[in-house]
Amino acid sequence: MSSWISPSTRTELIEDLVSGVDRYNPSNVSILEDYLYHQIRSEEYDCLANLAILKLYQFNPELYNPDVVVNILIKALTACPLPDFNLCISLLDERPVNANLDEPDPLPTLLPTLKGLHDLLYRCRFPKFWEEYRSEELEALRDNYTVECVGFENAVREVAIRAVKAAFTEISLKRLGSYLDLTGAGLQAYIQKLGWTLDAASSTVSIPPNPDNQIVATVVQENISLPQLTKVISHAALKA
Amino acid sequence: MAQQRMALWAAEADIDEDVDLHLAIGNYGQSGHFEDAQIQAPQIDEATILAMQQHMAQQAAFSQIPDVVKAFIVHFHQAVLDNNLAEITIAYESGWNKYTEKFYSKSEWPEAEVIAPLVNDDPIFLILYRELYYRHVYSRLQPNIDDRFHSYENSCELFNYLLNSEGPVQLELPEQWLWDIIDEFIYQFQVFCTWRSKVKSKTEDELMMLADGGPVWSSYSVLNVLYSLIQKSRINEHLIAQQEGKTPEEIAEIIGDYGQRPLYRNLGYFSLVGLLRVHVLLGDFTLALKVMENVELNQKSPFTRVTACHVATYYYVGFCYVMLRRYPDAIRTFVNVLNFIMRMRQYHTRSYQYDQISKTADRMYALFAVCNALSPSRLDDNVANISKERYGEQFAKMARGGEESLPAFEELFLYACPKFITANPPPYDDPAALSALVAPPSPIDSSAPPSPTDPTHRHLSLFLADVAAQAPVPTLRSFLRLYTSLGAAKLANFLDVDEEEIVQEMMLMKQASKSVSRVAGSERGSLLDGETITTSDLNFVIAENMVHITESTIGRRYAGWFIKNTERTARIYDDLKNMPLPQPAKNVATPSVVSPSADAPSKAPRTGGQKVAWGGAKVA
Repeated sequence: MSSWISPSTRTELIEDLVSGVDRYNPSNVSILEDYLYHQIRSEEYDCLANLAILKLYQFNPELYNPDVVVNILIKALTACPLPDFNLCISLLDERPVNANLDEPDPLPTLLPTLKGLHDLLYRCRFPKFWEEYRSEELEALRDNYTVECVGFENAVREVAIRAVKAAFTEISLKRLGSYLDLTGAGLQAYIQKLGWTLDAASSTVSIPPNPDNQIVATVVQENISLPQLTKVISHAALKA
Repeated sequence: MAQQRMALWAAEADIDEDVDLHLAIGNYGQSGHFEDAQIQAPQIDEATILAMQQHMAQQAAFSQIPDVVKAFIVHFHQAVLDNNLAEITIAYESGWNKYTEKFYSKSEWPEAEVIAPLVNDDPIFLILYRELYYRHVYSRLQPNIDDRFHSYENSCELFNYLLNSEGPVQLELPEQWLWDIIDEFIYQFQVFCTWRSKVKSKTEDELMMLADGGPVWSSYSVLNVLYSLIQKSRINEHLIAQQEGKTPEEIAEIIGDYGQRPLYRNLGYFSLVGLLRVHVLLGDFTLALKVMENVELNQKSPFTRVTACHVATYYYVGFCYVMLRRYPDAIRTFVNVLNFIMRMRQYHTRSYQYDQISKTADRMYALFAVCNALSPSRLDDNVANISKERYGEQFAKMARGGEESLPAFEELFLYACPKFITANPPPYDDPAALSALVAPPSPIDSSAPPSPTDPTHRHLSLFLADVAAQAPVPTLRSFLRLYTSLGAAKLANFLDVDEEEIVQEMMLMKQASKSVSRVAGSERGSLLDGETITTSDLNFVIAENMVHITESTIGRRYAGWFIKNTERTARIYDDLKNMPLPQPAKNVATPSVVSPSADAPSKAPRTGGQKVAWGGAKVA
């Protein structure tokens, strides 16, 4: 959690901005926007800094840059199941029709799409996600935005892996492939990179044990320590 | 007066006077506002008339003020001048309310100008008086646009005085009042934003005033005030230094002149809570929790001294956790404060505060029900019982999951959520954009959903989306409880869905049973910290197509219950023993220690100090 609050990749300058009062200064928005593009290019992610950008847009509608917003939302998608995407939406105030944009605002059309994709990811409907994502309607999204975001697809795969890791000890190759949108050699390479083992005979992948997929029936016993009993015992002793 | 003459000579009389008469009679040495009521009307210009009328009205109003109220104001003023904290507290807490109830329950208090002579026009006291005056208007009456603008100006004057004087001011005010100042300031901001966003119901005058309004009640100015108070009092550094255990001298050095005065320290502290609230209202939940990072959320913290502040803090922190999907944390927060409120209930006699606290408590019970449905925990608590009492029907629907639960969630969420606001006003300064907002010219694009300009609905839809995603989980859970191992295909058969669908649903369920939560023992550390923990007692794992299920149970907890009650009865017994013997006629000397817990097992011990029977323990 602490790496979500304060990623190691965050520089001191950004840290000061995010934690201080300067975050409200409209002239700092370009610093944060540059940091966002840095995240996009280098596969890093800093939720709180991106939220700071959205907050500046909230107070200063003239700074609004729809591309930035779309990119922030895309990055937030990859953080599923953390609530990042919802937090971003919470800060998107309704804005009056902005007459001073050069091009039409892409956000109103893209927003429902992105929300739909987020919903699919949150509900772990991974095959459906890939289907939607690769569909024709989302071509604009892919060509203009996600293609810029380095490692977007891999990041989404990691969302799927997180979910799979928690719920499975063994999973069929076919199923895993459908979750990751990979087949054949690509899938094998990916599995190897993860360090999972593939049993070629039954084509099942076994997932190494982790705290989530090892289940043990526990009985929570009560633990009484002596200090808890001191008052009772001493009172009885006094009385006696 | 001179101006008037010049205008006349220039034949540009802005006052519609009879020019001839003026020329003829001239200006008989009228300088300033003479009380020349005897001189005929045409010779006195309107400004003087107005001033005189006002003065006469004030005189009239002044005489209408009951003598007791006048005496109260004088006394109050004296207490403020003397920095007599005790007297101020009494005057503020009981005196003001008493006279409000008696004389001003349906009308406004006399205006500040009217009572000014009583206090020798002391500007500071008048600012404070106006603060109370407007608070009364906002709570009992309907403020009009002038009231709103003036109350903003008054608040600005007050904060200006506190922040921009030469050095810290010597004023001392009770903590309750300081909290109320901050609370009211934010409350007025909130209602102003709500009122402002209702474009359709504005009159022409109001539209004009709002167009010129500019910085009045702007988000930036409100935030500015709160941040300035925090910075001036260096409250964050103060809290950090306290946590690090620095000596008083070191702390005094760190916090400087302003921080040492209780007035500033309290204002700084309450501003932190104020910021928490403002950020939640604007929809920024992580920032809200972040500003509270140095405040320890336990019973020993300074903010518990003012009950309203205490309750508000926990409410907003809990709500942030709900929106962050950290339901266990939210539950813990609510349980803490609801227990506190139950215990404090008997000590709260000040009725107006009690109402507000009750209302907040009610909302928290609703939120508790919501969180419990989404993330069931085994807190067999008083809180859970009361919550079930009030919201049993909705809770049952929510816990069952499925489609029917959504309306119940919606109902409780809308009831319990804060009144969100938008940061920006509608474009009052741009008439074209304004009319576009009110009546969209083009037919609404059927593919784009109607954009809710209401922020509450935006947050509601986010919340409902989360809930809807988890809706199938309770049914799944009930099925899984019946087995230790189960084929996925079989399970799919039971639920009449695709196997693949079931598997994905189970991944979701696994996800839903984990949550980020503050780990016990880490009371230090910011409120955003936490680790992922499992929240469900039902655990499962899928091996290819087979589901293996385990359940964890909690052994019966006898010890805690017994120890608690033993100690309590021992206390009662000791108290009894130390009490003087009653008159022989009065037989029953049992002190009625009202214990809020419904399961107080022991009947009151009989006189003579006999041991308490444990028979009551059977009532478990």
